[in-house]
Amino acid sequence: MHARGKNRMTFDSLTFVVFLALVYAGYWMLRSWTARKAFLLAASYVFYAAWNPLFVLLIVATTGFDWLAAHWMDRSREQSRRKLILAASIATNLSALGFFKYGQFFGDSAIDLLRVFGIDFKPLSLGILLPIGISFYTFESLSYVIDVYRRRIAVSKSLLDYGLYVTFFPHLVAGPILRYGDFSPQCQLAKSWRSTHAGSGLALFVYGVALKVCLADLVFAPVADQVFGHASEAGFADSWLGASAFSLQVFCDFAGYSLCAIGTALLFGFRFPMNFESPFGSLGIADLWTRWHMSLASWMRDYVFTPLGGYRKGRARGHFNLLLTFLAVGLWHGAAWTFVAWGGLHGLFMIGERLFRRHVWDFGKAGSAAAQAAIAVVTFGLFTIAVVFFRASSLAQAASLIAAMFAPWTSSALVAVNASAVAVAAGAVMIGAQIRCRRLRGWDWLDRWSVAPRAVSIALALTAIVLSPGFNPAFIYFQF
Amino acid sequence: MDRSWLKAWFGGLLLCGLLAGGYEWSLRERGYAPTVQDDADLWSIQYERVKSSPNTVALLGASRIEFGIDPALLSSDLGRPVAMLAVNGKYPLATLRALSEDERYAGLVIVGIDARGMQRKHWDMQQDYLDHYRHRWTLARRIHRVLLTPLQERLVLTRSSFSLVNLVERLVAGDGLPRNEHTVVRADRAGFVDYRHPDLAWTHAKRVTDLQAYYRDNSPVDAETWLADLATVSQWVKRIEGRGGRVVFFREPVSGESLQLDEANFPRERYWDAYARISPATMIDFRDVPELTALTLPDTSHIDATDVPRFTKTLANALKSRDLVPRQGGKAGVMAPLRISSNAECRSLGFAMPRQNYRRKRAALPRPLSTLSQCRFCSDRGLYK
Repeated sequence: MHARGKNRMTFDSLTFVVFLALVYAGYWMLRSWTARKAFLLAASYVFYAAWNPLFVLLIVATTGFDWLAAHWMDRSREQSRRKLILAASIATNLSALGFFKYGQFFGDSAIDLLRVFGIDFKPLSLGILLPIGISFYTFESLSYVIDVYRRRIAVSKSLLDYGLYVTFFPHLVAGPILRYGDFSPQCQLAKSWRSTHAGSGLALFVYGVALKVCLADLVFAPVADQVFGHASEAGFADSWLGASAFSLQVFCDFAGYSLCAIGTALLFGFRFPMNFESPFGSLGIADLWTRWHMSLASWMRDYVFTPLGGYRKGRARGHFNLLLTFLAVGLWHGAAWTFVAWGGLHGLFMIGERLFRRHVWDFGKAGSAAAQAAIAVVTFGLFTIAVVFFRASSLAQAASLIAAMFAPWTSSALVAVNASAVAVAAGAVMIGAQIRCRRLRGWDWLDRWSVAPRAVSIALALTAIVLSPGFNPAFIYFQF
Repeated sequence: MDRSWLKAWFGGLLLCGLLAGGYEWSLRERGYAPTVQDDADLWSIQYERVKSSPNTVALLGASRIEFGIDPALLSSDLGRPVAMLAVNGKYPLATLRALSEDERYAGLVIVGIDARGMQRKHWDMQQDYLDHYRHRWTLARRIHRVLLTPLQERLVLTRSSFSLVNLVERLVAGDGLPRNEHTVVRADRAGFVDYRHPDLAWTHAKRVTDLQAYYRDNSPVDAETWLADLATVSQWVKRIEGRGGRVVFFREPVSGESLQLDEANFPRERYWDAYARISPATMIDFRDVPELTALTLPDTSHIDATDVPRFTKTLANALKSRDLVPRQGGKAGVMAPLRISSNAECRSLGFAMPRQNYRRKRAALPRPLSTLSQCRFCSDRGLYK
């Protein structure tokens, strides 16, 4: 474990290990359930303050505002008044997100547009700092007020419970994106310490850290960095190698983070939803989005795609809604046209897949293991083409790399043979394992393992962590 | 209570301990020793000391300072705290610039440098370290680094070159284990090179080849331009000295081919001495200190770990003989008296003590205290009067 990338209290830092140990001990020493929740909330604010103490005020303000808005909405009997409060809450949340995350982007885009018409402005530098995790907690706040408006959930009677829902530190900065309907019942009953929660929670945590520090940072990141750092020189093999390495890096990084979050929450007796379930074993892009960043995908389905009308208003409108939803998914990931392009490409893949399955071949029904494996590999290939936009610094760089991916006659030698060999071997094992385990959902099967495989898996993960003293950058999804 | 997880964790930790322990043992068997991994975080801890205690002696430079001067020894010799800010492979003028811009800093700056490193194109080499301190150095990071250091001091396997992935990649390439560099870095960033190893001829040859390649690829800037550029550096020096600090440019010992190459490209008379005539800083060339010319430089550029105390002592004496630091029991020479801004800082220098005990312990104060006429924390309360 090396010190780079630890300016924040990340899960793979020794600072977090100390923090977690203190909070864990303090939490289970308290007897009152309310005191425990208050302690967790206070610890979560300390955790967030480690990023930027000033932004604690922002999260406290938005939490308080949304909680009150939901109460006003709940008390109000007039539909128009409820709608007004909902609109005010949504506008407030999106304004904060828009200002901090998209202010500079829209300003720059407007200047670029004016330049097309011959009006030349000097680029504005607004110097806006992005509050970490704002995309995640804004979406959680939005889902809460919308669900209260739709009367799908009861309004939160406890500001403490609601504050913990928004701020609970394991999911605060990079998800999974929770729903109040799932979290609230867990706040009602006092938790008692259980060895299965402690054992499996800690195991998930070390699996997650191992994925991050060993595979994401040391195996895949150097290959991806090398190729994307010299994208214009990349030939056919290198461009596929670099893009594939980045696909696997993002998976190990974000799935690793999610495992840490789920495991940490379990240590305190809370269950978080799964965020990744063998996405590279998917049969098609639609299947992939039920396995990749699942909490975001379901949020977008429930709060964007379905309200837009889904496929209820005809196929063409449905395709349009799908595209619009994925453009929003792209924009959620980052304030740059490359992310919009990434989302748009996924939308087009989804539409293309629907048409292909309807008119050519419904590959979802493929029975043989070999055919399923081949489909999974093709799905990975499509994901990898799109991920170029996710990683590229500009649309031009992405275009140059994608052009190389479709030019088998080009060659380059950007990545050292030994680094490529290790990345390819690790990638093949990882994709193969996901294809094989694609039917396993959730993590309950871990508790069904006997002692020996559990011990071996823990030993391997711990050894991988101890023997990965590399230069660990921050988790990729922290920037969103 | 379900004991299966307890057993699994016990087994897992045991197996991990055996695997990691075996790896550690095999590395030590091959002659590798634990060392702290020097990085921007470790540097930031030192820089923080300068920021919090403006009279700290700042040791700037590159590898010759980092692997030549022991800051703990120098500190006890000079009677004031010393921060090791030299960075291996990076010339130090960016840090000098930053210290000049820090309105509070008024200490002694020892800049280990040569004429090559004073060229404008090398001024920003340490800027990434300063940027790191300004933008990425946080409390969370500090805690991580402080916890990591003791592990690195005790375990070889915490060195990044021994990561499992790196090892597998090296084995795939047929490179075997990483080269033993025979260097140890302490938590205070003092480095020590052990040249009593069989790879000395290789190290010597590489040093000379690298320097030849540098001069082949980088023609030296002409003396006039070089001197004109240094007018800016002189401004930085004046700013520090205007606040009561002192700046010393120190040309560290080199010998053999390294000295010949340096002289061929940057003749002392036209560069170093020419600047010394107009520089507001004190300039010390190792050739002017007989004890320094007597040092052995196994690779022509760095000293062996066993010579570090002698080198440190010689430098301390050279500084004292030039009145650059307060003498024991005497006046502070040309340097401004030590200014202390807090009790913690005062205590960090080894001079202060709890307020309530002050009068009782006054008689037992260490001798350098007699020079601390402006210890603000204490004198504000009349404690030194």
